[in-house]
Amino acid sequence: MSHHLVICRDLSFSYPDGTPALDRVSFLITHGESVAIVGANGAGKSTLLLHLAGVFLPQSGSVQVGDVKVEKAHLNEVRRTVGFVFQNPDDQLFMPTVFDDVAFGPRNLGTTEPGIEARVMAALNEVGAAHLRNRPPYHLSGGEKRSVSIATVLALNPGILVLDEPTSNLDPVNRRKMIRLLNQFTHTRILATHDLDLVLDVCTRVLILNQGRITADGEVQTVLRNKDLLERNGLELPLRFQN
Amino acid sequence: MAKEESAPRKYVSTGLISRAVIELRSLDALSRQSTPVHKLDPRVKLILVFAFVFIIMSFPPYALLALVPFFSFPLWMSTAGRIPPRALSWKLLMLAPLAILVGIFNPLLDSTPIQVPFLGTISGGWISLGSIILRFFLSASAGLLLVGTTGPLRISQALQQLKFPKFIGVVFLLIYRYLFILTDEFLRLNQARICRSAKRKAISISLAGSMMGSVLIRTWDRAERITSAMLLRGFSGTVPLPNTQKWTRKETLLLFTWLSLFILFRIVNIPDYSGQVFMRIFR
Repeated sequence: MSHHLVICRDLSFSYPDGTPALDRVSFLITHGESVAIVGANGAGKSTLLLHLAGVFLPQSGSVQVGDVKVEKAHLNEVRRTVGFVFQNPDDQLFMPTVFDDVAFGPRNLGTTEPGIEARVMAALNEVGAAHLRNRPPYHLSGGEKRSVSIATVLALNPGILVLDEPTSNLDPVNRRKMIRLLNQFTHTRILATHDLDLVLDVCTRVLILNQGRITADGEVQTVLRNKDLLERNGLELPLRFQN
Repeated sequence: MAKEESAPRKYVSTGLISRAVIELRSLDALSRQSTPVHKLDPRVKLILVFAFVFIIMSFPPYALLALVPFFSFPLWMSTAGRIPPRALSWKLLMLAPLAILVGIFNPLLDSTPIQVPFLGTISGGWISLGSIILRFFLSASAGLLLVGTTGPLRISQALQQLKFPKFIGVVFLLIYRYLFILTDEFLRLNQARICRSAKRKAISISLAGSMMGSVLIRTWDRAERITSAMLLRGFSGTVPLPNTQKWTRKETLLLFTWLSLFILFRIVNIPDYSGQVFMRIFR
């Protein structure tokens, strides 16, 4: 199952204005793992995720998804394996109806129309959004938008799911639904979040980023109980450990 | 500080822009109706609207009365497509300054005397300005009705099916989408401004400038993120769409009926001709 491995080796990246974002980041994520990337604002979480999907290409070091290096020549292959869910669902949804939005990816892959219907409905059913199929995305509620944006990615059958802040702006009920949904998936899951209680519910491993560097990489229960470590990295204990 | 307080300030109202956003959304919502016009193959509507605009533009500059019969086409589209006139009137009014701007100097530059029935002699400039405004209303309403009865996706698909270069269909779809983003960003920014503006409703010109700059930069950022989202889902320059529409005899019949009418209206000045007939009968 090497095709669902994610390997970063000494990955570094600076923005065009010179702001360093990632500094020699290295890790290996194996098939089926559920990994959280946490850190303060501006720690480099989103930049790291964008590298995994090939939106940004490494300036130095390398990223490998399965047997393929993330570089210009292999982008199609990488993007077929990695399903990326953006932080703001409005960035993810751009077609006039939910159905067409979920169908966008499979149609690009050349799936024929009878297959499209089945694939789109399977993805929408998986996130409990089948009833929204004919609605325009901008009329949906925040929770619905989030579910549909995950469906747009699931319709491509990715092996690896990468999610940027999957529970931001969600009310408690929708947040709980999202946690249940994330736990249903058997994909390799990599998510960037500030919601450490979500990490406890969904992930088995956590990486802490601080100013573009990995400062901790370990088992969730160990890392997220370490108050000193969390505070050094601009974080605090998850709510359920605070008493 | 004192200087700032005493300086005269120019203000513009933002109510119109907010209104424009609401109007844009209403047209999008109307495009999801199911009426005989909505159900037509988008290609027939696209060809008719193109032909309509082309024929209207082919009239000589002083054509005024001869254009009147052309109102039948938007009238048919709006009644059979259940697009209420209110949905168009605001949008047309917002676009009207563009048309007026094009012909505003005609009355000054062209003083050729022209005989107009019932009104006597009028300078050619005024007639051509009227003609420009009339043509604008006709073509803009046909364009808006096309969007309101077809939707951006089907228009983009029709463009592809009619063998237009692929990028035109995609660019159309993206412009439509970015229009929503741009207006969304503006509304959000404007709400933030209103919340901190106390009783002042209008906005100073300098603030409007910096707000527009900010909206453009934010829109650019969002457009980049959306493009990334598209690329990540396999976008490669075209939006493949299913071909659910079928060209039936109804489409062929409609196409030929309207095209023949357009040509008839172009060749025969119907209001003028009927006026002459009327006069002959009662003389």
